[in-house]
Amino acid sequence: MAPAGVVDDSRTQEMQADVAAALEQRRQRRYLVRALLRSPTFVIGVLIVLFWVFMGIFSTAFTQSPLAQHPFAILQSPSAAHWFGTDDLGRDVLARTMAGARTVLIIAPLATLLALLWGGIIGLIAGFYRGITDDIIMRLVDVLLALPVIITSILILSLFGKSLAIVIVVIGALFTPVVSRTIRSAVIGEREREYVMAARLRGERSAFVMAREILPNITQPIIVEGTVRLGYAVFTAATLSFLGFGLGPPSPDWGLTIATERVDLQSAPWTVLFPAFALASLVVGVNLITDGLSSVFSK
Amino acid sequence: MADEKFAREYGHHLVEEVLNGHMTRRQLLVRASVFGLSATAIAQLLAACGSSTSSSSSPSAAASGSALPAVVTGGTMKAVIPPPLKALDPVTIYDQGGIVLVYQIAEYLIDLTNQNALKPKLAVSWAPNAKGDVWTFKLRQGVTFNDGSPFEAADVVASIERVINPKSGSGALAALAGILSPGGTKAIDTHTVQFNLDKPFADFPYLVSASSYNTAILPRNYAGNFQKKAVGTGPWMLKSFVTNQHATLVKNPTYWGKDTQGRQLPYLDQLEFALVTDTSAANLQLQSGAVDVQPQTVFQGGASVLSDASLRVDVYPSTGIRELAFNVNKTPWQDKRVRQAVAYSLDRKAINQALYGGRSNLGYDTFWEPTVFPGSPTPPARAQDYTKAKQLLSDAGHASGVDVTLTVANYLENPAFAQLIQAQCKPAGINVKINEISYNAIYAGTNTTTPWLNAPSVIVEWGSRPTPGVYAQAMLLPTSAWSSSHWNDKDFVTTFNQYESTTDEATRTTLASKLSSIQQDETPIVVAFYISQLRTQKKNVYNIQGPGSFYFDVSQAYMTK
Repeated sequence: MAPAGVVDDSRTQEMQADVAAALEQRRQRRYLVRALLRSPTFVIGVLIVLFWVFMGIFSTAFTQSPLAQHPFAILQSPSAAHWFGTDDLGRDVLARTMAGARTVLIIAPLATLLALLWGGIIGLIAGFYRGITDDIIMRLVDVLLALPVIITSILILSLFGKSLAIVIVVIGALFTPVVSRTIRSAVIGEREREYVMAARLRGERSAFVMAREILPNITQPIIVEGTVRLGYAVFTAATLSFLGFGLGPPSPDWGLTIATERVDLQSAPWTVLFPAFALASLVVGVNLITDGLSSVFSK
Repeated sequence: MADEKFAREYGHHLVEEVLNGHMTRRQLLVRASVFGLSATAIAQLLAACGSSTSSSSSPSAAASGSALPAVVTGGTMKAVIPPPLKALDPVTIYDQGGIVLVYQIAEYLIDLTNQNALKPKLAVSWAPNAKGDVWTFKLRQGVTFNDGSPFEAADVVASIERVINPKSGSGALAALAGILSPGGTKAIDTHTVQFNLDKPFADFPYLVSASSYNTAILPRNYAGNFQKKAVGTGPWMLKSFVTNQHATLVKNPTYWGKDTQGRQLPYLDQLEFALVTDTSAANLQLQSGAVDVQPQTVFQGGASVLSDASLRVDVYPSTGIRELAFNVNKTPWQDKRVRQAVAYSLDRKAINQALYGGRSNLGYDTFWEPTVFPGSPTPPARAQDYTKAKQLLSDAGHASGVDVTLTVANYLENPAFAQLIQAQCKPAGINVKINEISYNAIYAGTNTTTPWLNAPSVIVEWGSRPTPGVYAQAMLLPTSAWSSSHWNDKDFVTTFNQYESTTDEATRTTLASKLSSIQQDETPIVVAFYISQLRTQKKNVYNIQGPGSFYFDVSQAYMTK
């Protein structure tokens, strides 16, 4: 048995090391937050996304009802009464454009989270175990990556119906392979690091090592990948709606609105252009966040 | 001959009806044409009524408000239409693209005037026996098919027997069900055909006219390859057809038709059809000058075309409808009070304004509508009345509201109509869930599975029908093959059979009133409007004939420089 003083010294050193590590992590976090807040790209992106989140939740409190029809005032050009004009059923385009954010902001983040969850598990397993496990998983991933997202989505939605939940699951599933590849690469970079070796030497179970040791150290590539996928998910959700595989009428969903109103593009362009600009702005906002994160993380 | 005597007596009967104020002159014109009275006889009848009404007029001239310029022969007219949804076959066509193309190449026994009256085509006269269950048609002599073979009664017999064969898949089956059975069509001689009907049917000529578009007369040996070998007696011959792209037709040099001055028809040398699905693309083709005419301009999305000063728009008060059908075998539509509640929830003027810019005629859930079928009894108008609608729902046991699903194709203005219904029904407590599916999906499957005949409630688009009876025959009888409502009302059926078996106009008017009342009261379907169709053309295009968009008669059309 070691003398009490030796034990105390060793524990004290460990505690000091832990405290130092915690402080370092906190310092790094503060640095990242400050760096992100100093990044105009990131800040503008966040403001755009927050604007649409706010509109998606609260817009009906201060705009007209997005479903209220005025059959005797169809296709009216923008005016003081209707800032964005009216559509083919006399509905207020401003109200519909603002409320239209709701659907895409439900589908895209949830689909992205599903992709990160499933892709994260697959990538961790493949990257951690390597060998034949990695080979089998990655070849399957290669097969799935070869599937065109929109066509496969349409196929699945045709088979299983087109509810909101199915759209989310389908987009999430189709983004899983690409997420898993990214996470696998990050895991491979980490698995030979000393802290992983130490955990293994301590006899920790593989699941513990993956979840508690490796995962916290690959959060940056996961976050970046998540924002990239979010942008694509927004676009995919709108595309599916445009093709008739999202919500049905009278939803103010942007993709659906663009699809149904495009026949009036020539005579009433406001019915299509405002939802199209809204969609584009949300995608740009998400991409700005991605760029901001990437540049800060890479410093 | 008994038939001639009948026609003469019937003519006198019509004159009396007009003079007694029971019929309008326009109605006389239509009814006289049904019984095969010649143009001369009709003119004499109108004179007896003190009228100088012309039997036909050019919508183009009417639209332009001026006399037609001198005829210019030769040239190519280009039109844009939707592509046929199935292979081009007169026996099975059912859509605008297919009907328009077949109409140029093949002909019918009887054609339609711009006012939906009948006019001789391959048949020069027709008349029923006194009972109205045997109709004799005299055929035009000296007509040949464009392959050189002569047109004779055997071709008519083969064409009609072909479409009423249950295996044909023809839409004419629905129209002729219970009226003409296989074996009922006989050739009396080379140019006389007799139809022995299952029951008297006063509107029978319409069922073998262009309005029953599958009854085109084809050669007796027709084998179903119309798209490759389009043989008909019409003014045009198919030169080329590329699916979903274009069709080119050239004039038939041996066509029998001549104008009133004896000039050979058609005037034009060639017709080119661009087959375009997308409404916006079709509109742009017209506006850019790539095509000369659009037989049907859809109001939704057509605002820029309709306001284009370089184009002329003809408005046709057609009898086409968007049927809102309630499947009476499915909950909650078994109870007519729920069906009536929907009818009283609708603001028909607002719907007409939103869908057609107010151009269409309002309907009140009956086919006997005097604004489109002259002489019909005037039905009580149905204005939006939420108090009444809520009371009806409450009486039906749905005081707290009712949830229903409305199936609709993503086609033309149907989705917009569905959304108007949804919004207008909500305040009454009828919560409409819209099930929007593709045009192909709604018509897919067999009669027992297809959504348009089996959904709980559905919107179905119907092209023009020439009489209320033809509509009822197709969708409101237990024998109707196209009944989305599956309505079966014994009183209506009995009255309808009496209506179609009598030639006495006073009796028909009385029976029409009863039929209209039953249909409106029962409300198996909502008929909120009769669509006015729009035909748009360049200002140098003249004399296109035919009622509505399906009957695009360009045999006498021409283009000035």
